[in-house]
Amino acid sequence: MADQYGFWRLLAEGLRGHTGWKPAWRDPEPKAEYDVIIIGGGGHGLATAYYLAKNHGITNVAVLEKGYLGGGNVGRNTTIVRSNYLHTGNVLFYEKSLQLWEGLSNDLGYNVMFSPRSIINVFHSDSARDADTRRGNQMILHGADAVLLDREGIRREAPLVDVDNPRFPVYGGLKQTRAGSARHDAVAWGFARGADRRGVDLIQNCEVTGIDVRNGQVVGVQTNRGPIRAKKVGMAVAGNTSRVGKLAGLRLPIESHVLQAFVSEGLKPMLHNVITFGAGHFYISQSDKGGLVFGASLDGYNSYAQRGNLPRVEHVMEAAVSFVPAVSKVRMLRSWGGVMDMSPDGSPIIDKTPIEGLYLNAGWCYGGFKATPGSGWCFSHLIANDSPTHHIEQMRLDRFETGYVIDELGAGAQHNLH
Amino acid sequence: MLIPCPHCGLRPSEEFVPKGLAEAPRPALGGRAKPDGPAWQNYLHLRDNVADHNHEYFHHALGCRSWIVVHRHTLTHEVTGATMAADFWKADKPATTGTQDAKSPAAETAEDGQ
Amino acid sequence: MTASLPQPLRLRQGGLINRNQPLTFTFDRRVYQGYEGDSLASALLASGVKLFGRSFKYHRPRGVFSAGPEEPSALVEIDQGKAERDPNHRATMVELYEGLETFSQNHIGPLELDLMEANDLISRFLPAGFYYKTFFFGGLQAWYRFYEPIIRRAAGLGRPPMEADPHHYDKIYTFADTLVVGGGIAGLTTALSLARAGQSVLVCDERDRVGGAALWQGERFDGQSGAAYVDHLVAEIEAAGGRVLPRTTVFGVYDGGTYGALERCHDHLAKAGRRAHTARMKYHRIQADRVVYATGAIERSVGFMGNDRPGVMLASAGHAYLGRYGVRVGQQPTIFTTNDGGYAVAAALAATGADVTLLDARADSRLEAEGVRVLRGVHATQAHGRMGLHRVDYGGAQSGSLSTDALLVSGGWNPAVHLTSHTNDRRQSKPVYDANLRAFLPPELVDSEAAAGSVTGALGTVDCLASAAAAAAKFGGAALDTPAVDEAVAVSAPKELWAVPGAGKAAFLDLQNDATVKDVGLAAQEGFRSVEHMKRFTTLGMATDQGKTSNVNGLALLAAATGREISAVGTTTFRPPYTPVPMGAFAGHHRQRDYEPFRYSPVYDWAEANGATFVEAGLWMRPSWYTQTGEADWLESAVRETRATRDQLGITDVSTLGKIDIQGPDAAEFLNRLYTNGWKSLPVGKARYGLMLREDGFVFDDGTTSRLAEDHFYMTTTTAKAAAVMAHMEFVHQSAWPDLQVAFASVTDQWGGLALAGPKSRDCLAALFPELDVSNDGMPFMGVIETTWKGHTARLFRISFSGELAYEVAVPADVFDAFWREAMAVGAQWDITPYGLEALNILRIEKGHVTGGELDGRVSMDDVGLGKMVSTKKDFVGKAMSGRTAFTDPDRVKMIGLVATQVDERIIGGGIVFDSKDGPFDHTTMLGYVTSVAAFSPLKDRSIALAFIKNAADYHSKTLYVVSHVHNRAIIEVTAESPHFYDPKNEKVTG
Repeated sequence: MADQYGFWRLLAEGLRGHTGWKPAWRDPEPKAEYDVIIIGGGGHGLATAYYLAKNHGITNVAVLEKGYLGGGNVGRNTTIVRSNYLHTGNVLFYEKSLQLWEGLSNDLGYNVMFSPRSIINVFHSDSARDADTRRGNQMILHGADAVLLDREGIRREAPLVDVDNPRFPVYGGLKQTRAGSARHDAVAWGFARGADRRGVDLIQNCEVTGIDVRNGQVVGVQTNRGPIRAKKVGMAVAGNTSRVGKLAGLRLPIESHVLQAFVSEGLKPMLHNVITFGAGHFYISQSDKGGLVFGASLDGYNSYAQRGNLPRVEHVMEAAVSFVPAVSKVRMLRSWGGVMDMSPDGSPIIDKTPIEGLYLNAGWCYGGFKATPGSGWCFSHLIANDSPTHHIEQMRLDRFETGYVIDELGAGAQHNLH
Repeated sequence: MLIPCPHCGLRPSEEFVPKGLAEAPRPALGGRAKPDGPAWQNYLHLRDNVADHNHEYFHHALGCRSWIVVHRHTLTHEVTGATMAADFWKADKPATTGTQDAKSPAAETAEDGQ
Repeated sequence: MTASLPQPLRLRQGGLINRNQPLTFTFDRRVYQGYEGDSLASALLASGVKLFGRSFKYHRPRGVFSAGPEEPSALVEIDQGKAERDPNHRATMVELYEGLETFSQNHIGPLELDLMEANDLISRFLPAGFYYKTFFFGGLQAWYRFYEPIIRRAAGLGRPPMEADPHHYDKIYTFADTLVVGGGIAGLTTALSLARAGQSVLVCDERDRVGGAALWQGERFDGQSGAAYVDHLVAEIEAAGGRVLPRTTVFGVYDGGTYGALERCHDHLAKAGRRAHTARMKYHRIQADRVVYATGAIERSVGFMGNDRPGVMLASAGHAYLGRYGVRVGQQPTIFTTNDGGYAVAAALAATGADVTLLDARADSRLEAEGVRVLRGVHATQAHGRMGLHRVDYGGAQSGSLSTDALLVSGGWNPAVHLTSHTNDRRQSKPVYDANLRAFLPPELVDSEAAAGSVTGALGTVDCLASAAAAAAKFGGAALDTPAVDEAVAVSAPKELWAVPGAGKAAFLDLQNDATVKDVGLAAQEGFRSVEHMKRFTTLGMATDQGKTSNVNGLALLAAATGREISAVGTTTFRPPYTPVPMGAFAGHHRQRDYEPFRYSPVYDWAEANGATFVEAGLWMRPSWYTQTGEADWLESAVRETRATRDQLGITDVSTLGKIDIQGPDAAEFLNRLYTNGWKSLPVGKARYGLMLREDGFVFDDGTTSRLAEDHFYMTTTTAKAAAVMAHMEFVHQSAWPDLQVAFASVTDQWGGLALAGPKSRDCLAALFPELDVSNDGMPFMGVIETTWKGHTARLFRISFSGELAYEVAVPADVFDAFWREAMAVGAQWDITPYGLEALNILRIEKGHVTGGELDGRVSMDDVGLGKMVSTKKDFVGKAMSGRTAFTDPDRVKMIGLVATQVDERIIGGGIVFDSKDGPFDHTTMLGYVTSVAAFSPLKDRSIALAFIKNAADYHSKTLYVVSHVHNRAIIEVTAESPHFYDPKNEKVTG
């Protein structure tokens, strides 16, 4: 393709004043009909469109985005990529996703800056060590990688962690070497550009206002830019799943909650790995720009507001300075809130719906970013073939009726506990 | 955020533990409701989850230990009142505390126990 | 005192500095002098320093750009050492003190010769977003091992602290009727009006001295200087009961009238003057009914080539350095303005004898300034001077070049609307563009909010005072006399000029992140048309100043490049904090040891004195084992304790178990609904083991509950789940069954409890309670007796977790220590042995009792072999959902016992169970997993474990293998058997 990115192209454009760069994607008018409509131009929607075109040859596809591409949670997260899950239903999927991450920049021709700088989950008790041992073993048995570290291992690999913490001394940690972080916007933009180049229409400022169903079969959608017909419609609107689902008359197992995240001022290298605190839900890493990126758990109350409150901020910072005392002086530059699609068991849903031709990709809780390529890969397969790949066989919508839940934490059917 | 506990008055939110949306009552004891039926699914799993006025369970854990139902707008975070959970599902529930009541809950009865 | 050092740009008089108090400080180890009242920036400028640091991306030399918190360029490290080093301080906000040590940052080699400036030489190849388009060669490993490390080392600003922070921080709840954010003339005037009306008023101002522009603008109020008038206002506010907090930044607006504020308490003090007990900072959580935003406005620049050169700064900054600090930033300054505001600073500089030229971008302006040469219809086109400005080219109505040593730029004013947009509890929360003022104004405010001063778009002090009166009136303030403003500074809306014609790559918008006019154009060219896309693509506004001086220019240029109105492009979202806040300030004292509270049993001191090693369990510190002389490790101690308990008599502290007192006529009915088994028939004086499910049908918790009277029960829960069980009971009672007449309270802290276990436990109990009949008939298994011990209530329970004949005794917590010591004394004749959690764990695994390792929230009653505990005659929490398909799936894993084949091999907790040692080991061949391990079971003379496996019943007596890949693929051969290794017929406990 003429408009490829790369070192020599950058050099050539530099010499001629960067006048030759084309728009990263077209800005097409919506057509009257597509083979497939994807609702939601976030990471998952764009990845789904990309893999529909690339893997399944389905290019007559529109991605409808009510705002701007990548403006949802893919643009406001802590960018952690990992597959360190316990349950088969999760680890198979996230490992597939991690494998896609490993080749993603070169596949897309867009540097998504995935960096396998490893993640270390630190634990603080014998029982937590047993639990992480089981998790590590499960990961390996499902094709992922895991290393169990002792206290000295933590000192060696994450020297700023307060191993001798007087309240919660560190017993060790579970490390996934291939995990890491990526540049969040680049993921959305890379998939967008890749999908666009393969003929997918990315339509921004196009809000879906209705889903047309006739005799139990999807026939199209209504938008603020007019009706668009399609026999297959995929929803990838985590954060707004209940609202969009309602357009098709679906009542879904989702509550919306706010998760705050934070970034510090830019600093010279301080933390190499992604590290998580076992005595309080807290995770931190350092971006390539030098900012510490960190977060913890939900504020707890239901919210669509994309902002949180001070009690949770304080709690996050208490965990931060207890876990990595050197960050105390580091200044927090910006905080924000993302709307989380919380499912009752903390695991996602990628499945058909009771409406023929309407497919659901939802319930990502905290885990949506790392899932982006895997989600697109598997969701596109489901849409193209009407059958799931083996990675998502357990991510069923009816699992709350059957009891085959995928409850990583064992917290039970309460959306805000996961 | 301040929560108007019907028992204690306006209290800071960190005294409370939220549980989630109160959209359906617990199915009655001894009923015929099947676990995969709407009564149980609506109680435990399924939600309208609108970006609008909502009813949410909060536990005044660091206060009077009451479970209350808070009337909040989930887009603006505006709190308009609260009801004791003990009264919330009663047909003749008393008025809520707070400035104004948003709307009464869907007073649906469980499919069993009728 | 050292000899005075030169301050060539300091004037002999003027400003609010104390020339009688010189202060010595260092910058990059060079010694300088300034005066009390100086900022680091003003003192260095006075000393003739132009170069302060390097920019983020191109490492261009940079000076001071502003005189306030909006500073993008002059960032420094303060102090040295791995713990004390504190990077990224804005030199404009650092107050000078004797001995202050500062360092420039983000360079390799000396500041003047930064090797990373090579980035600037190749900057044509490094446009916005260049990194998305390259670094493909070599794939993932090349990126991770080669390209990315180079980027990471080059990126970042200051060097981070690498050790724990030696300072401490306070958290404070602060209350006010009305919070006034900003202590300029408008904020203070509003505050005084409200305070006089009887409101409790709190004024927070981020600067070291309140007063805002009144401190340096040169205006007079009723004949007084600005500073004197500010002092007068503050005194009057305080006299009326109001509070004024300087050095306090309100950084965020949250729900329900909550505001976050950071007060800087001792960073401005010389180190000798800091007291150890004084907090470095105080984080205020302010609760206020009303708020007045008097946050002022921030001047903006104009895009032209070289507008980042050291010596180019905002016009207001030049004015502030002159008026507040007595520093004339140039002998031959040039003003470049698009509005009337530039004339005041020009005149003020000319009055000091400087040779001033003013470039007015407007051709039709008629304003004059005394002693100033004015060129109209002219704009700066390029500033020259890599290490310090020396010349500026101009164009427009006429073109030419001026020799100059300071270029003061005013592109207009941006009201500081940040806080007004933090929440969205109103119709819309985005700032609104005013095309006449060429500025974004606050959105429509709600009843509890008002705005005063230049944040409202008011131009000039007289208008600001009028807006203050309006804000005060909105909240019922008292009427005040308006002061006469003399020598008022002319202010006007600017001519629309975001970048001069021809401005491109070296015309900077975001001076910290090096986002240029050309980058915005490139964003538009590549289709990044949303303002959020532009920001993310160019990183404009993402630096430590969050674009306070650059965002509006950037979005306006984006509007022009994409053919839209500025109002249609809009702003990005303003989010807390307004200026960066140290993470430690939010944490206060809740860190390290005080991150979570410790809970201590009444016999903690006894245990500590008797060799206990403690372990945290649900906030409690519980004895893990008691070391005796000569014991090599924990296992030796734990095995001794286990043997002593099985053979003779053991004692353990069970005070940490959750205890709930339940009373009322419907208490039995309530328990019947909570537990899976039946409770109505339980006689008074008996205990029963109960299992609770969650509403979703999975096992929640277990414990024993005793009936003390017809309407009185005493429940125990596990230590870990105590709080959750209590909340669950309250929830189902209040939300589902409020009509049940039952009341309950947690009494965990009110009772201490111990367990006596072993063949001699009955003898010991009898000795402790000689008046009681504790024989097998007098107190059978599960019997409960309420009696007294030395006049205190004592509750005796014949229950066993260890599998031995055992009793638990609960007495009030305040006498529990005494009771424990008596039990130890009485039990001495049977060699009573205290045992900790490790021995308890061996005992209960031998018995096949489950704990949190098994009840992990994902198991059913059947999985743990307790399916028989379900009453079919009644309904209970979780019954319906435990009837779902998955619960009866024959493939479910079930609990089983494992015994190591080899005496010297330890089973691994978290290991995976297979039926072959040859593999393949994967998720399709695995049978299950190990949940709890006894490293050594005296009963089996080797390691045993509890595990969950598929088809458990088929594997009894079979050889299995526990494999742990994370332990170098260790394979442990085991034999499966019933998990009830010890006394499966319960003869010990019932005998």
